Amino acid sequence: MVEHIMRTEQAVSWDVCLELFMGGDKRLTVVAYAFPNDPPERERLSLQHATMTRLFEGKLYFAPLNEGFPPRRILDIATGTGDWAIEIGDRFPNSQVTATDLSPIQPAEVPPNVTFFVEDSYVPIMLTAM
Amino acid sequence: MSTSEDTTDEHGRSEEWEYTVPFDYIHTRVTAGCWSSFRDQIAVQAFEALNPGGFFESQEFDGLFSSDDGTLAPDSAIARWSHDLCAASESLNRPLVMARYLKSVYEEVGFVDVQERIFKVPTNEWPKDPKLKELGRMWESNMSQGLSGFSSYLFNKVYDRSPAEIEVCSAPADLSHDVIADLVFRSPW
Repeated sequence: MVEHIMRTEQAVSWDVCLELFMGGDKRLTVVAYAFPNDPPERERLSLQHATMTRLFEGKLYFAPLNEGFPPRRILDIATGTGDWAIEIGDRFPNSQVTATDLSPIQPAEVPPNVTFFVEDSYVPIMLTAM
Repeated sequence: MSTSEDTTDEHGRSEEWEYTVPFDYIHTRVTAGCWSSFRDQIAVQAFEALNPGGFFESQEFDGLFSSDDGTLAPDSAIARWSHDLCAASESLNRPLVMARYLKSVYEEVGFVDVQERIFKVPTNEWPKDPKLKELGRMWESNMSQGLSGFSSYLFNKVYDRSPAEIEVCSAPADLSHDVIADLVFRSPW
């Protein structure tokens, strides 16, 4: 069986995901990431963020981070639409926030201390000191 | 702590992070289903990418439903669906059941002062308490938009079910959802 790695720069919807695997092309057996990244999914991620915030009664984090001695460099892995990363950037305006995701679904306008990186399937992440 | 000699993943991509300056705080949220091995792809590397005394925090949920009084019958439709979903994710090497193992995984890779907090989320509006009711409503919406699509993908891929055969159970009343575990870990000084 031939294995393909699917990687697309277009917005992927659930229909596309399902079509690929239900379709006749049985050669497509490997996908880097199973989730869509279209507008409905972005909305869902924002809702999910709001739900988590409510669940945690407004707390973004439970780590004993100290606003008097803030964490200088913060990394958010699989940041999705970047809601958490943006909020932590606002909370610690003098800290540098790096946030990564496979999908480029983060807003273009972000606080100046927040930077999003799209993980490329073929190229390792190389970030130097900012 | 040991790392695998072969640092390429099943897609032939390098798994090694290449950050040149360490972080003070690393965070993950709701990433179950993204990884074949959270331990190797994330935990080990987070440990190495953190300054001594830095913090790593994961806010993750487990893929299984539970009920507060333990009355979820194993042969009920919702229990079977939940089990099938998690088993399918396992067979695709993207396990949804992950959060419950994280504490021991992190201790294994070297984090200390591990704190685990467990939250329960209602699956719909069943609670009488207005705050929980609203939370349940929001989580139900999140699940119906997200998990149902993911479960369709899994059920089709693993069990070869057509869309007509795939039934997404809406959770019956009085079930709490997936326990959400928030874990905070510290890198040793």
